[in-house]
Amino acid sequence: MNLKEITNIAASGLAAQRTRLAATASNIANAETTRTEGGGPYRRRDPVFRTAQPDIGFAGSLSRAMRSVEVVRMNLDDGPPVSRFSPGHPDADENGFVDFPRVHVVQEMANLMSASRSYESNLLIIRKARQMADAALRIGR
Amino acid sequence: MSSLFGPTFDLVESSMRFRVARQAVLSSNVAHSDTPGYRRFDLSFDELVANRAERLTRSDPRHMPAAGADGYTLERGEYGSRPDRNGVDLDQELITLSRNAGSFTEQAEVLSRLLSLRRIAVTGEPR
Repeated sequence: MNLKEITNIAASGLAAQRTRLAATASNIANAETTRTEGGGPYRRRDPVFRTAQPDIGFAGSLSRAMRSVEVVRMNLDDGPPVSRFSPGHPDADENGFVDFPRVHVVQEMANLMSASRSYESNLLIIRKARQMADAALRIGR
Repeated sequence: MSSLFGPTFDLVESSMRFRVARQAVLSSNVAHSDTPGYRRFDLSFDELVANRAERLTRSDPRHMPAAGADGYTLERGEYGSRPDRNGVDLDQELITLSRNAGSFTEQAEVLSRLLSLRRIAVTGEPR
């Protein structure tokens, strides 16, 4: 275990949070999308994180406390779409109702703030690791 | 006295090793601040085990590392009250992490001072 490993762990956190930011951006951008490739309105995306397994088979007992994070899958919202009365819309049914995605922009904004704060925390760790490396390199100077 | 500052050097060095290990554990906590069901880890230094002469050592790098061989004790936190049961408090982790990095920097400075003391002892003149 060394400072490089710390940077690797923090980098995995950065990647995971960036995926979360991308999913949130996609949800907000598609909040009104009524047509998708699979048919029906857009379904909200939500990444699920898990602890990554270490690369090396046999590692010390401490290694279970020093794990990277990874995105295990992208959850697609299974909930019913929101039906809104909008006659004249090209995707409206015979009664004038259109199925819109079940995306709540307020919820997405909260998610966005949480993700960017986690991202910054991981950045701080990388900065700290560099400071520690600098301090170690200055020994004896 | 067998060596100049020998024991002090070893002491500070082992403490710095511990700081790096703990920093990695705390970094892992922060990386998992949004992983469902993650309980935080922390590392503490078990003085009694570390100072025992008969502590477990590896005579061959291919040997399996034994638990507690370095005198470290791994502690596990509780589940959190969030819906995903994640037990990581981001602010608390960042504070602990900053303190830990600060201790490392301090100890690096201590080593530097010890080295310059030794230089004075060898050359007889201050730098």
